[in-house]
Order: sequence, then structure tokens, then C-alpha cells
Amino acid sequence: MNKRIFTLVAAGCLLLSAAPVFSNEMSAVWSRIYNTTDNLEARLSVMQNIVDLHDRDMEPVINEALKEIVYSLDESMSFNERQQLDDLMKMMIRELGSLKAVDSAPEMYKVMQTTEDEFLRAIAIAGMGNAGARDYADEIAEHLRYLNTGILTIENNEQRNSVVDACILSLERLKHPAGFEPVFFASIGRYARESVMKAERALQNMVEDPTDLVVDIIKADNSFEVRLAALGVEERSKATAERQTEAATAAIEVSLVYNAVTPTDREYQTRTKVKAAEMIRDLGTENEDAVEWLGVMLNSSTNVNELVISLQALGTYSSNNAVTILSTYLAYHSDRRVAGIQYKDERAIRECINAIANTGNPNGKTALMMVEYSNWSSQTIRMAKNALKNM
Amino acid sequence: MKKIIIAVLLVSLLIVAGCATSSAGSADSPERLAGNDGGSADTEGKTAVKEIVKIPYVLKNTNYFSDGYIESYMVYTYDENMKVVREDLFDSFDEIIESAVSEVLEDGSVKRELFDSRGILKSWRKTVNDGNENPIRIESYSADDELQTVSEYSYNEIGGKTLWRVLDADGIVISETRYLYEDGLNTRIDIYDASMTLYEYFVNEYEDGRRVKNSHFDADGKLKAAIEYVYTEGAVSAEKYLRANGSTSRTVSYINDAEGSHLKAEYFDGNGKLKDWTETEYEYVSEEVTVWK
Repeated sequence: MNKRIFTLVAAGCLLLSAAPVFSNEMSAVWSRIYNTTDNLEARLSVMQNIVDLHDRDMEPVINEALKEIVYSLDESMSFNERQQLDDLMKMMIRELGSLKAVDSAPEMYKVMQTTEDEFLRAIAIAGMGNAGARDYADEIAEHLRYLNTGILTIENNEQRNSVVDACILSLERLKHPAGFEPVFFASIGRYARESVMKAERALQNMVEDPTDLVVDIIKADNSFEVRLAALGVEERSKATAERQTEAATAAIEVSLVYNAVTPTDREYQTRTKVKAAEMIRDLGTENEDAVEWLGVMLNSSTNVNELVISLQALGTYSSNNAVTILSTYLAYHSDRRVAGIQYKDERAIRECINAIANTGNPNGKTALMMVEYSNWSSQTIRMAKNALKNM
Repeated sequence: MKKIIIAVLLVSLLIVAGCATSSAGSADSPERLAGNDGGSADTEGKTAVKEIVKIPYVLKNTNYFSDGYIESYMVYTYDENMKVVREDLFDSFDEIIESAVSEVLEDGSVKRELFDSRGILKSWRKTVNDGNENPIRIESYSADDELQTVSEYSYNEIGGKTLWRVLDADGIVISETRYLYEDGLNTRIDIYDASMTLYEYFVNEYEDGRRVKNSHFDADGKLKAAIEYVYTEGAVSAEKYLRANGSTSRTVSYINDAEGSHLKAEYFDGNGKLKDWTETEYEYVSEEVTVWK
């Protein structure tokens, strides 16, 4: 025990003896012993007794003890002393987090910033989350963002997982929008499978309605793989059907406006469009903003899967806009068929007939009637007749 | 009186449950493990009778944030004699935060080792019990097997704690706590420092044999804080923590089962805002215990 540490202990005794209040004699005894013990190892043992009591009245006592260490660290300490102090802080911070001691957040943050022990940093980050220190959500989010982007690197896998998991857990608890984006990127990052799963769960819990955040990612990122993942998060979220449709509409829009650069990204571009249209179809909210983009998707695609899904999605609308797009599409292809263009696959045409029927909008009748006189196969013509009968 | 003895046993076990939310550890004190809080027994004119009673053993204690999200939970594992052999504290991802493993040594003492989430030994304790399963000596060691502190306990003839002495590794007394009784009830707890000077004390007040108030004073007799207890059907259903000026610093509300064990404890701040709560699951085992009649 060097002189500096002894001085700190003495100062701590004065600090802690100011006005401690205890709910039982055990808290009182162990607190006093802690304050009069100058041996670090013994302090660890005594603090264990204090922590084990899980006495909520001990919060100020533990907090003051933490302050004493955090704001008086001696750089000349031996490795062993430093390790013991780290162990002591781990114990204190974990308990303070469990006691939801938000007043201790500044000290926990100080530890997060300054420690060289990644496990202690992880405990400090998790402690802030448990304590509900929302004022520090930005700082925790930034730390995770730095890890995601490689600005910060932790070579040891166990240490890195520990810190990443702590960031995710903490941001999940704090339910702050600032945490959404880094946790999202952690969920699609190169972390351990367990960390990815935690991030996926966190995304569902941390924000009730992540639509605006998801749309930001969809519009700002230039990878369709990321956009598709963001759309998946929106789909699994607790956002309303209307809000999820907004995100799906944004996804279709960017998929049609921006070009994919690599073959892989083109594959993700197609999957993004299909996923977005599926969501619009399944949610059935009839958001008119999506109609225009579904129409563009319908008329610009040659991929039969994209065609079928966009037709099905348009079929969930009853609006004139939607039925006009569908009728125009059907009429256009009927005209081409009349002109002698051969169609090996009439799936899209039949899907369009179904979609018009599903709209229930009588504006679609003319296009359906044209089918009978357009040399389509008998099965397609029969479908159109049935659709007309039911409208 | 039978009910009081049973209540004492229940309270002792519930204290174990109450600490489960933050740590797999047990404080270096007998109340944490088993036995008696020394609060309400009386031998005058009474005889010991063996009776079969249902003892609650905590299986799981879960701590929730105020929004219902799980913060952590402790799982207790017992051997065939219903002695705790493992206490595992998990986070909401079901990952271990820390564990305590207990084993009975050849001399009958209990060794309890505390491990962190990576399975690294952090510290350990050795508890020596008397014939009534009351701890009489608890030695706390570092992970390097270096003795740190020793707690020694004395009891009266019916298991009521009368003395708790803490010694440092050199065997020097650094604290002494004396439990004083009136009419069989623990009415005062005096805490002395290493020089055997009264440092502070607690006063318990009773109504119909039940503790209704616990007040904390400094050595000069100045009130520092107090706790008021409310009972429903014989079990504590609420605790109100008061500052010296009488204002409420926080409250605890309990929902108990038919046996009086706390199923749920809700913790409120001084403004009545829910901070968090715990839920406890038990297994009841019928056991023969000594009842004073």
C-alpha cells in the first residue's frame, strides 16, 4: 500500500462518514469496516459483503466509494493493485446498475472512458444501461459505432464480444433512438452469432416504432443488402401496419431509383423490391404513396417474381389509381397479344386478372373484357370471365 | 409463539431471496443462510416442541425493470438435504453473470466459492454452524486463499443472535454488534467500533410481538432514519423507509402467498414511482422444526 493509496483511503473515510444511513446493522457494520480498511484485498472482501446485502440504502455508500476510486486513480499503481481496483469497481458498478443507481452514471461513464480493462469497460457500459442512464445513450451508441466501423478495435475475441454485448444490452435498455443504428449494424456485422442474436432482439425492444430510423438507413445506405436487412427489422418491429408500409414504400422507391453496382448487390436489389412489395401486399393498408412505385416496379421489371408480387400488392387496393395501373398493364399486353406477340408464360397476365378482380373496382371491367378477344389461352380467358362475373 | 418461530424461519429464507437480484453472493452474516434473526423468541416458561412445518425454499428470484423487462434472475439449486449447492445469476440473455458453488466439507463446515461470468474464482467463504444450523463463524478468503475477515456469532438458548463480532485477518476485533432483548424480543442493536466505543445503534419497536418499526440512531442518539412495517394476515406486506425528518425516501410493497412468503416485491421511490420489482418462486418442503410453547 503506497502513501497515495493510503491518503485516498483516508479521504474516502471522511467522505463516506458524512451521512450514511443504513436499513440494518449489517449494512452499517460493513460500510464502516470498508471505510476503515486500507488493504485493497480486504476492501474487496468487505465490498462483497456489502454488495451481497443488496440493500438499496447502500447506493450512496457504494457510489461514494466508486467516486473515490474513479477520481483518484494513481497511475504509479502496481499491476496487481490496479487489477484489484478493477475488480472492486466491477463489483460496485454491477451492484449500482442493479440498484438502478442513475446518479452513479457519471462515474460509470468515466470508467468506460478511461479503463484499460475491456471487461470492466463492458460492466460499466452495462451498468449505465441497467441504471437507466439515458443521458449517456449517445456515448454508448458512438462506442458501438466505432467498433462496428473498425475505428476501435479489440483484438481479443472474448473482450470484444463482452464490450459489444454490453453496448447492445445497454442500448436496448435505454430505449433511445440514438442506439438503433449502431445496434442495427451490429446485427448485420461480423460479430459472434450470439452478439448478432442479441442485437436482433434489441432492435425489437429498443424502439416501439423504428420506421423513421429504418427509412433513414434505407435512404442513406448504398448497399441493398443493408436496405433489405433494415426492412426485415421494420417487419419484425412493433410498428403499425401503416408505418411498416411507409418503410416498404421507401424501400421500393430506392430500389427503383438507385442502381446496384455489383451482381451480388443486384440480387439484393431484387430481393428488396420483392420483400417490400410482399409487405405492402400482406399489410393491406392501401397506402396510396406506394401505388405509384408499385406501378413503376410493374412496368419496369422483367423478373416474373417481381411482376407477380407487384400485381398482388396492387390487387390489395381498391383505388382508381391502382386499378388504372392494373388495367393499363392488362390492356397493353392484350394489345400485344392481338398483334401476335407470343407469351410462353401467362402467369403475370393471370395474376393481373386476379388483382383487378381483387380490387373490386368496376373501372377494371373494360380491360377484363378485352381478354376474351385477345387470343389468350382458354384458361386465361376463363379467369377473366369469372372475374367479370364476380365483380 | 409457534407462528413467530415459523415467521422467523420464513424471513430468514426470504432474505436469501431478496438478495438474489444482484449477486450470487451471500453476505457474511447468518441471516443470509439460515437460522434466526434473533428477534422474537422467548424461553421463559416455555418448552421446545418438535413440529412439522412447511419451509419455503427459493427456487428462482427474478428482478424486473419497471417496464416489465427482465434485468436478471437467480436460480437456486439444492441437494437432497435441501442445502443450497449452486446459486447462478443470469442476465436477460440467459447468460451467467456470476455463480456461487457450495459444498459441505469433511468437518461439517460449508465452503462457498464465488465465480465470475468467465468461471474465474473471485473469493470464497467457509461457514461453521452450531448444532442448530446457526452460523457461528464465517471466514472470508480472497481467491488466493488469503484470509480477509472473520465473523463470529453467539446465540441465546433458543437461537436468537446476541453477538456479531468481525475480526480482521490478524484476529483483531474491528467491529462488535450486540443484540439486546426485552421480554424475548430484540429491541436494540448496538454497534461498537474497534475501540469498543458505541458507534451507532438501531431500536426495534413491537406491537403484538411483531416488529413495526426499526429506527437508526447515531452514537449521540440522533435519529438518522427509520423503517415502518405493515402486516397483512401475519406477514409483512409493506415497508416504508423514512428519513430523519419523517419524509418517505422509498417504499416496498409485498404480495404474499398463503404461507406468508413474498411472491412479489415492488420497489417505489419517495414519490411513489415504481422503480423495479422482484418475483420469487418457491418449493415448499415439510420439515420438523423446534417450536417453543
